[in-house]
Amino acid sequence: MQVDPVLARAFSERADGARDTSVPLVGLFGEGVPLPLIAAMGGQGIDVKAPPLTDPEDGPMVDQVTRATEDFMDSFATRFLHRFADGAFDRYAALIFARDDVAGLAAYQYALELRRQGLVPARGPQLHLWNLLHTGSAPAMRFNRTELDRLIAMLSAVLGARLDLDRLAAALAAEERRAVALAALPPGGETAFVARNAGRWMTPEDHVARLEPPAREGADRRIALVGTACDIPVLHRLCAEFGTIVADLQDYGRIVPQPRTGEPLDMLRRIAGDPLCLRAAPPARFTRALREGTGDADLVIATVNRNDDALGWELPGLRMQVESRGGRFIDLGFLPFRPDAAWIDGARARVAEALS
Amino acid sequence: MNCAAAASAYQKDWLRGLRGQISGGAPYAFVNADTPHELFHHMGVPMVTNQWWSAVISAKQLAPHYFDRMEALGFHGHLPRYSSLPLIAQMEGDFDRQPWGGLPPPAILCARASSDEHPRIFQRWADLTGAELHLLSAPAVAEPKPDWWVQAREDWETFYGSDRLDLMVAEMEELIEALERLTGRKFDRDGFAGYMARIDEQERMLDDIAQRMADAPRLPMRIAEQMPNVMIPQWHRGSDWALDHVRAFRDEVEERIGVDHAVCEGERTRMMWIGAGLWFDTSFYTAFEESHGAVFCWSMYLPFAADGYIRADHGDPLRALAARVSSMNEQLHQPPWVNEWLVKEALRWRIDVAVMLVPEHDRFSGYGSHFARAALEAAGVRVVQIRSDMVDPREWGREPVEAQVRAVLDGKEA
Repeated sequence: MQVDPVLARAFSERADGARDTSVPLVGLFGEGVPLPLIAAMGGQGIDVKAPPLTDPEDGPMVDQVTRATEDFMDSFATRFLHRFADGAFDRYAALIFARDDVAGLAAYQYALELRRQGLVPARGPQLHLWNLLHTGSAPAMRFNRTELDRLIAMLSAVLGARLDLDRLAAALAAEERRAVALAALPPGGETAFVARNAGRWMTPEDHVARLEPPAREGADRRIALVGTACDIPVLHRLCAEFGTIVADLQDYGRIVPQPRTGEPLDMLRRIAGDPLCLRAAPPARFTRALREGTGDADLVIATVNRNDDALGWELPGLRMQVESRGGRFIDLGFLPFRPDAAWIDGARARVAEALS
Repeated sequence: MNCAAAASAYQKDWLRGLRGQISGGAPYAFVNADTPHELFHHMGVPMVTNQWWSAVISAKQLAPHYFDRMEALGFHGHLPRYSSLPLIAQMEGDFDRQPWGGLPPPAILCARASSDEHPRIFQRWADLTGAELHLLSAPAVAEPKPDWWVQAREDWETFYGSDRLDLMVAEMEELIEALERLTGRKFDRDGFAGYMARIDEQERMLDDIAQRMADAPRLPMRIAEQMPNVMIPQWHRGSDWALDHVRAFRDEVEERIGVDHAVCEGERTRMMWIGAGLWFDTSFYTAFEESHGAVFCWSMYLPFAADGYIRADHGDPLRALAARVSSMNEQLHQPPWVNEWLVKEALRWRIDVAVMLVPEHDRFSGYGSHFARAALEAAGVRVVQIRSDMVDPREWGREPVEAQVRAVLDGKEA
């Protein structure tokens, strides 16, 4: 089944495809930023973490960034920084970095430092750290409330707008319609992956208008994916040869909760309650969600980025749990940022062996 | 016995005593280095620090066994190592293999979420031992001013941010309640101010020692001696022993300076060691004295005792403690803080060459390395970056690393 061409283009071009948008753009590095809030204040949230698909071939390489970034830095952060230094986001009103994204803080601090030292031009968007804690305690929620106020103040300053409750209600409704449409998509398959993620670079209205659920495939061999952020459907394509992906719990594979109401604490609770955020605290919450989310899979496939500090602690326990219920578990090891044919062939052989 | 040996002997005795106490039913805490140790001390709860214990395991040359074991258990080979070593030793459960017979299960655990591995490592500890887990949140300072060591001593409210401090105080209050439940004692808030004042006195003495050493014409004490003299009292900060020890440390340094004692008679190059200690091969620090008159004068532990710890209490010692803790580790590793601080210190100590440990696997400690290198080079300091790990010797090549450093020293002397 072919993916809608508009969605395919949005997915491929990513932030570059939104260049001509007339609405002020607000770049988002990481999950957990309340999108309806940005929309209600007149901006459009655009993912800036995942680079355009052609980035490995034609993406900028800026010397100042090459000199400043360690080779073990998260690839999403490194590619973002090159693009940032090259001016890809100069016309954005702001760039928001989620502290609870595993690469968000480094991306923010390096961008800030490059600018402070004059290694990149001072022009360009406001850089904002969204410190929201994925923790449900009362002190954390009080802190999150101040973070929300800080976010609103920043958006108000850069977008020149006050938060309008009617516009917020409309934006929440639009986002909710998108959530319903996304929930109707199957969790696996390349087509659904592209269709789902294309919305990161589209308004909810445009996105929903293009979403048509592809037919759900039969679930003869039920496969679940766990891992760190993966913004390309490489494993979806591969797994289609063997069965059906019934859960993709990785960032860019899963649907991250967005607020449903404009009531600040409710808004924050929805986001902070996301148990599959890698920095959700305490981590036992993540462990439970990971196990529940893979609970009906015949095969669980794990991959991690080379700079993973968090997920790797979960995998031995998850393997034990999956195998104890009769499922199979394979750890494909480190997933290159853009895997080559040799890596894919190796992974294919491992999956085939596990299912033989 | 010199001070460093006395500190090490004290710590060994202390651990032996701790084992005795624990065997008698006393609860102890297992905590990360960047947590509010002061609360545990003040409540009389003995405490073992994860990174200190990791260094001890490494110094006993046991790390390769445990890291091989870690991968055999299915943990991937790029996970951070410094903070994970004690966990793997605990998971293996062979206490005879561990230094000093290993650790019994703790009663309470505490870590800050400053780096992504810490909450998970401590969650595994909790799963393994059943101990109560306290995780302190670590939101970042959104607008980090470069000169943190100036601003944080007095004006920490502005510098760290009231919302972050409110959060840390509230989470520390929860920890205090847990310690009260554990001990059956009330937290003595009046006494806490006095206790914090003693710590302040200790850190100010260390500040004074650092300045004297920096000013001395030649280095009077190697960093391998400085480290136990600073860090062992830090693990017991505010105690009578810690203050007495730091006084003795100060006296020893003063005496050495007074007689123009130099650890290297032919000192002609002053070096700084950037990063955590090279715990499995501390003799590396003297490797260039004979050949190049090059001495490692500086490691972070002594100057950080002042800059990282001294926080005016402004009548609210708990909040001052929150200020001390809320960005403790970040100041040593994140731009712009790390680069600006290292330059300030390099100039103060008249450093010629910096040797920087870049631990690829402990990424939190490795980030900021290139910014630091560039800043030091701009300040006229030659920089050698070495890729290794503070506790894992498996990829350490003493000869090639020595060659790397020698090349820079030769270049300086050419």
